[in-house]
Amino acid sequence: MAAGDASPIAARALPSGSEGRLSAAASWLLIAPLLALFVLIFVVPVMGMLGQSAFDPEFTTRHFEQAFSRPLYVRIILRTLRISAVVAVGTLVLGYPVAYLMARAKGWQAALIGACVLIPLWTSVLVRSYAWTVLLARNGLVNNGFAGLGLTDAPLRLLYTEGAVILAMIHVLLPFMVLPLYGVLRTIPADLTQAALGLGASGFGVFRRITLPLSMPGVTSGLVMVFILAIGFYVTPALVGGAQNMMVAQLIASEIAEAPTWGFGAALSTILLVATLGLMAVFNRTISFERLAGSRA
Amino acid sequence: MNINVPATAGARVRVENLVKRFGPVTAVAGASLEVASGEFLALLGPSGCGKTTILMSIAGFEHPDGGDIRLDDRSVLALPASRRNIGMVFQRYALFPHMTVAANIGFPLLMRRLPKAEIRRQVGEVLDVVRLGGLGERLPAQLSGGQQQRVAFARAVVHRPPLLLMDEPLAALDKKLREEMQVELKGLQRLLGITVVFVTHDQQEALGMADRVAVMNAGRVEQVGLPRELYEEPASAFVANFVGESNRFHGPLVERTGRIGALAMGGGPALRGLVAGEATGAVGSPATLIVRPEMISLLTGPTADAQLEGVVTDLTYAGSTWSVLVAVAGGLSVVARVGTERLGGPALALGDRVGIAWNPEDARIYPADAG
Repeated sequence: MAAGDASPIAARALPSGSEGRLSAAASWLLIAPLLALFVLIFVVPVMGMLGQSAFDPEFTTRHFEQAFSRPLYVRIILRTLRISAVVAVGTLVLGYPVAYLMARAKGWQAALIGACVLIPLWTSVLVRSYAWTVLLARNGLVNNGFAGLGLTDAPLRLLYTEGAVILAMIHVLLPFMVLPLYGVLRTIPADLTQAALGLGASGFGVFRRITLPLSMPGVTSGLVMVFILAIGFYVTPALVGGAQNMMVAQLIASEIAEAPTWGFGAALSTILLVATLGLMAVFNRTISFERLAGSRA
Repeated sequence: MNINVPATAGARVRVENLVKRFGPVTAVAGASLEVASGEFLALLGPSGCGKTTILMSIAGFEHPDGGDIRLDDRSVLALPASRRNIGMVFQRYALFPHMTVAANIGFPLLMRRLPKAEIRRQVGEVLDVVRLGGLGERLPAQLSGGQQQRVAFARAVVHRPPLLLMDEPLAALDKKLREEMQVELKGLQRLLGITVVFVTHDQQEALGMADRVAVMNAGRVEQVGLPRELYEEPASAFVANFVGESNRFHGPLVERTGRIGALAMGGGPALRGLVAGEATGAVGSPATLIVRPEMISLLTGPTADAQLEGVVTDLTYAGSTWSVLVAVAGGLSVVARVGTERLGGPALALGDRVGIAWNPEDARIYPADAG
C-alpha cells in the first residue's frame, strides 16, 4: 500500500559491484568470433577497395580526377546527393505524423499502425520497386485512372523520372524514419505534455515547445539513416529511374560489371564512403543534445 | 531574504459529487470537497483511493463522468486544462529537460505572451523567493532533487494562479529533505496566499502541512477535518486506522448503555468503548473497537480494571516513551505507548504478565470495516 511507492528509488540505490561481470579476457574471447568475421569480410575488403582507388598499381589520383572531371559523373554524384536529401526530408514530413500517432495510440490501434509500418519493411525492395513500375507505367494504374477520370488526354510520363525515383525511395525508406522517431516520441513522458497544457500552452504550443524539440534526436537519426541508405540505393532507381536518372550505385555497378574498371569503381565507392562518414561526423556533434535531453531526474 | 510579492486571492474550490470511472473500475464514487480561499487542503489516502484522480479532474487532465468542479463558484468542467489557470506540481516535477531553469519557470508567462523583459523580471523575482537565484541558466538535470522541486513550485506559481495542485510532490525526496521542503512549501504557500490542494499517502505529511485533511478511501471522502479532529475523533474505523497508530478488535456488539458499548472478542471479556456516530448498528451487529496506543494503561498487579491480559513480548525505547507489545489471547498483539517514568525502572520486562486497561471514553466502536 503506502510504503510500496518508495520502492523504485530504493531499487535504484542498489550497489553496483563487479559481481556478475566477466573479466576483460573472457569478454574479448567472447567477442573474438564476431570480431574475426568483421575484420575478414568487412575491414579487409574495404581496405582493399580504398587501396584500389588510389593504387593502380602505383599511387595515382587518376580515378578520383576522372570522377570529378567528367560532367556526366559529377552530374550523377550531385543527383545522388539531391535525391537522397529530398527523400530524407520527404520521409520526415510523411513519417513524423505516423510516428506521433503510433506513439500516442494504445492497444489494437497501436498494433495496426505498427503493422502498416513494418509489413512493407519485411517485403522485398525488389517487389515494392516493381510495384511502382506497374503503377507508374504508360499504361499503368495511375495513367489509366487519370484518363478514365478525363483529367489527361495522353498518358503522362511518370516512370523513368527523378520524381518517380524519389517517390518510390520515400516509400521504401519510410520505416527507417518512422521507427527512430517512434522510439524517441514514445519516451517523452506524458506529464511533460500535461504540465505544458496546465501552464497555458495550446495543443500546437505543446508540440512546438515540448514535443518537437524533445524528438529532435529521433529526427536527426532518422534523417541520417534514410540519407545514408539512400545514397547507396541501387534496385529502386534502376527500376523506376532508368539510365537517364542514374545514381552513383548504378554507375559503380556498370563500371565494374560491364567494363571492368575496378580502380574507378573503387574511387566512386570511396567517395560514397567519405560522404557517409562526413555526414555521420556532422550529426554526431548534434547528438550531444540528446544526452542533455535524455537525462531526466 | 528580501521578498516583495503581493499575496494572491486564493480561489475557493468546490468538488460536488464527483464520479470518475475507468472502464469497469470506479476511481471516484461521488466525492465532495470544499476548500476555502487560501486554505491548504491535503487529500490523504492509500494508493488507488481516487485522490490523484480528483486532483487530475480539477486540473483538467481527467474528465469526470459525473458531478461538478467549481472555482470561485464557476464550473470549470467545460474549460480545457490550458484555460483553467491552475498551477500544478507533478510527482516527478515534469520539468522540461531541454529548457533552462529560467525558461522552465518563464514558460507560463511566455504562453501568456508577456514581453521578454517582463518575463525575465518576474522569473528573477520568483527564483529569489525559492532561493535559486543564480541557477537560472542551469538545466534541470544539473540540479539536486530539492532544487528541482523548488523549480517545479516556482513554475507552478510564477503566473500567480489562485489555485495550486500538488501530486505527491515530495515523494521522490529522501526523508530529511522531505521534512525541510514540507516547512518551506508551507511557508511559501502562506506568503503567496494561494489555495493549495495537496495529494499524499503520507499521513505525517498531511497532518503536518495541511490546514485541513480529507481522508479518502475507495473513491469516497471518509472524513474532512482538522488534523487534530482526524486523530482524536475519527469518523470511521478506516480513518482511525489510517491516521495514526491504533489497536483494532473485531467482534459483535454485545451491550449498549447510553453512548458506551461493549464488544465481545472470542470468548474473552467484553471490551468497552464510546459508540461513534448514530449509524452504528444495534446489539449483535459486527463492530470494530479502536484504541490508540497512548490511551492504554498497563497494570502490573492483579486488578479488576483490566479489560484484557497478556504477556509482554517486545519493548522498544523511543525517547520519551516506551512502545510495549503485549500478546493477548486469540493470537492478537496490543501496542501500548507508556511514558518512561511511568514504567518506573525495571517494572516491565519481557515475559511479564500485564493487565491492559483503557478508559471506555478513549476507545471508539465503529461498524465493522472490511479491512
